[in-house]
Amino acid sequence: NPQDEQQIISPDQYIKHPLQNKWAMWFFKNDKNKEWTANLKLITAFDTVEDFWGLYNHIQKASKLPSGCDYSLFKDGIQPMWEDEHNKNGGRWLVNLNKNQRQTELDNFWLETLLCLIGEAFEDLTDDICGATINIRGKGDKLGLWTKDARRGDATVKIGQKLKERLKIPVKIAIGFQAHSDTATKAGSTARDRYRV
Amino acid sequence: EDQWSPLNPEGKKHYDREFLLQFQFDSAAITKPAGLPDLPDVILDKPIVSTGRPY
Repeated sequence: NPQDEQQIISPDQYIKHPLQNKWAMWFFKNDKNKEWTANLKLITAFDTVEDFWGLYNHIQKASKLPSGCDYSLFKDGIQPMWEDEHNKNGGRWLVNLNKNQRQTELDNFWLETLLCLIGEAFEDLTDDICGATINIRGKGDKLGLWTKDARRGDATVKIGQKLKERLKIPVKIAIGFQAHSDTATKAGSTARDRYRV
Repeated sequence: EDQWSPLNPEGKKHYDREFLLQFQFDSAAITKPAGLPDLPDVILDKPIVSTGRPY
């Protein structure tokens, strides 16, 4: 109606802030009675800052998830698994957390990683980024930042340095990058690091 | 700097952490999103409005 049209609203008040990429949040719950893929559930996808927070505020904190669960945030169209076409030549920067850090650091590390992804902290290396996962495990929680091509050394190292800086990991503590193809062929989780920062 | 804004809709959509964090408890962000799946382990009816660390 004509009265509404006369109101002047600043664009900032009604345009949600668009993200460079659309992202999908996934949840994995370990149920040994089911196939791995049946335990993996898409929560939702979003492409604005406001919709990210709406989701983040309405899902359980990672530190409150039962052991064996994961959250993953990946670019829309990439499944959070090694086998996906976008991941199969890639790898992950891995941050291992000790048991005390579940209470003190885990939620902050995960949120910081999410903000790096949706805010495009890796800037011109965004095409190297696939997503990130947080694994809640009794023997130690793990944060992984997944990239597309483990052979891209310079880009991978820059991404690892940025992650380490944003998580405020002390310089003396090194984090390692493992290619998925190396991890997949090992029985344990002892694949050698392709890179360290 | 070619940053996105409502007046520069073709700009790059890069946001630093402080910029993103200011929207955390915006009215849009404390409203439960429509269409979330039925995952009782994960989905909350009311928003979490405190963070572990005072950001």
